[in-house]
Amino acid sequence: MAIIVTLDVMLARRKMRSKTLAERVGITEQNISLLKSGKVKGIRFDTLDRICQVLECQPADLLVFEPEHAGPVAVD
Amino acid sequence: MNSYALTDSAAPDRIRKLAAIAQGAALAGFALLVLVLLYMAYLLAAGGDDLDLLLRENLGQGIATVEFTRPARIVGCFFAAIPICVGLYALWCTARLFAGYRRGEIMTETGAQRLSTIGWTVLALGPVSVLSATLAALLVPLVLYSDSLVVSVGFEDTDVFAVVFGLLLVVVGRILSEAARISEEHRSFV
Repeated sequence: MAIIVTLDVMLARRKMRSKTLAERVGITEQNISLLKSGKVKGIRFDTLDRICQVLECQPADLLVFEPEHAGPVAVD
Repeated sequence: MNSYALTDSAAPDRIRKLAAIAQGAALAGFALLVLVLLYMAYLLAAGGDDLDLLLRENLGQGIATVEFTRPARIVGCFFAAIPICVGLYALWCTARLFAGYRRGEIMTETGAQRLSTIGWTVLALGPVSVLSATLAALLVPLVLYSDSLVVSVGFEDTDVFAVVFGLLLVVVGRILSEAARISEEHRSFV
């Protein structure tokens, strides 16, 4: 998948631990870990909104599109 | 296993206990049907009229007036055993379903597929029972008299219930399978 999650970078900048972020966002630490490693299929806008509020950042600071990692796309 | 399942420690005790009881009941039913088959085999080996009575009860009115010989009894036992074997398979699948529930595989595609399999098997029981009785009524007199052919088709209300109930189980299984797939997809989102 071409979408790369850079949550770990933002956590390092804000000097915040995953556990703290999970508690303040209201999701499990396991889900934060899955999100950081890119092993989720998607993120709800509500969750993204809360992460951005807690980390005081923009969605673009958390999600990066790198086309060279893209898989095959079905074309009609 | 390709779907979310409760871990063994997370599956509530109550569910595991209920599933254990249901699994036990299914296995007890399985054992009972195996005993029925063994009893039929014993009666076949021993000879006598007890088997004739059992076959007439199981295979319906089509052979009500038949005087059995040993070859006819063998044919009758074969056709009487067919619905019992279908029932054995249904009970075995049921035991596997509840074994999965005990492991926490409740809202999973595997569990839903097992339920569908049980549904198809129960659904098949109706026509299989009718067909077995019909073929027995056709072939037993043929074995006995070889110059007479009788065709007798009979339905019981239990055959209709089996088809209806089986269809219901198949539909419920399909719905649960789709629900498990959607649930798995939702769980993939954080």
